[in-house]
Amino acid sequence: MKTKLVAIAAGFAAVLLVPRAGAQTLDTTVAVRAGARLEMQNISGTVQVRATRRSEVRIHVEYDRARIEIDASPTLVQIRTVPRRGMGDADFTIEVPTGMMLAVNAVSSDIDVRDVCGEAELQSVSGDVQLACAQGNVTVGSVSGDVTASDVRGRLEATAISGDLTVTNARADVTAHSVSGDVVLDRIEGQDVSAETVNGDVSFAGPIREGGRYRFQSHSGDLTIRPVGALNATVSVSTFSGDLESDFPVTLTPGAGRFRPREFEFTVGNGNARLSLSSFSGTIYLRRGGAGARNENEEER
Amino acid sequence: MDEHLGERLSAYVDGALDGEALAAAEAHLAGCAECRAAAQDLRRVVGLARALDDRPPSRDLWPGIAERIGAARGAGVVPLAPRRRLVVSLPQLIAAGVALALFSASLAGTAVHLLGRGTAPAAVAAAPETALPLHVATAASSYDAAIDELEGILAARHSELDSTTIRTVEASLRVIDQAIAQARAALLRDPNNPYLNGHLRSTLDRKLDLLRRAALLPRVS
Repeated sequence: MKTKLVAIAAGFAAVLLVPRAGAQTLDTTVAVRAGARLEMQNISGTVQVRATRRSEVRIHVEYDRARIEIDASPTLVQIRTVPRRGMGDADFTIEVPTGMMLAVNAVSSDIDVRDVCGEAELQSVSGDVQLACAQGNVTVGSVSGDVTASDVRGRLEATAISGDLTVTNARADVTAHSVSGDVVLDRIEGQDVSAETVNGDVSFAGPIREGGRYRFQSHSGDLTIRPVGALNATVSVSTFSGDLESDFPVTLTPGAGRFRPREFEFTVGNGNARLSLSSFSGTIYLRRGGAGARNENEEER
Repeated sequence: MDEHLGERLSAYVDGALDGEALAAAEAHLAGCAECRAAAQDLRRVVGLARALDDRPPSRDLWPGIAERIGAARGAGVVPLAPRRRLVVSLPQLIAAGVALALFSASLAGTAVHLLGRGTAPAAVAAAPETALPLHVATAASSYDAAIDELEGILAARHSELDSTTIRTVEASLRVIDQAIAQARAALLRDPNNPYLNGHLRSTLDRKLDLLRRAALLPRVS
């Protein structure tokens, strides 16, 4: 059975509506089946999603100058904040069953999702996005906020335009993009990992797997790569005015590279993995020991 | 993909191959089901994009678009009623999305193709940048058309996007433009450098991606 609940900030609304000074509160719970999906859209405020062992979705929201629309069925719960006269704030705290699929889109709203551990697509325009524990296809992004993801299994695509992007403890293939923020990939175990930013730094720490592909790129930022464990990779380095500092021996193959501008390739171990490092004007650091991803300048401080 | 047509596939579909290259491509296609299927898919996508030019706006399309851009229903939705003057039309958004997807999918191959051959189809060779070598200018000008279109969409949406977000996007575009300028300056010194050519394309891709995201941002009012 599908239920629809509409709470209107200015008025009458539902039994569950509890008015507060300057804002209204809505608290409702809907039962869902295993494999259900939550879709929500928020304009301004915050969205917190936490896990519960119960087969239900509990929605608690404090809102102002807005209308909250909830469409619920056992397989799909949809929540929307509809602003009134272009305004509207809503702070959501939502409990969902562990493993529930989430799709959260927000404008000026932070998104914080923890311990749900299912597929997730989290996008904010100007808010921060934090995700702790997800699996499957996972997408996180923000235009002007910071993006943080941890404990991800499967496939992660992360994007931050002006904010910093941090991914930790992921057993996943990772694609990370930023423009002016730093990209930090720490304790990443993936077969296909790439990170790119324009004028931020990129740092990576994790095992370089046999047959894996790893691409790290910046325009003016530094790259600091710290392979964990044995490194068996064909390493290609490309830069225009930057430098390479490597803890690993760099033995060039005759005829395989150019030196002005600097573009060359060398092999470490059996060369099984592909490690591509390029920075137009930054320094590329290839360091031994992946005791946490951090850029070289950080370490010097 | 060396054994397959790879980047030559888009050139083949575009009719840009001739002589031995065309004969080799046709010979390969005759014996390669995978490449035939890829060529068929590519033609279908090109046909779809062409068909979009004449497709009238449809009310039925909006829910999918709204879902994609995360816009709220009701007050937060750009209505599709033709009587309302839209800052950005649905066809524009669709065209931007589809054309850019198509563009992104094919341009890398096309650019590599152009850079490799050192020649250009007439459509994109019409306005090369004189300061750069022809192959670089041609590849760059291919991006310019898409960038111009998306910048126009973004400019038209200024009034419906959050001003802070606009400033962030514009600041990020300046960062990318500076990187593009530096890459182009470097290419003037070393026009055949593979890294610099790839880096310029990659940075242009970043600009396209940012503009595409900005063009599809949900409105705030």
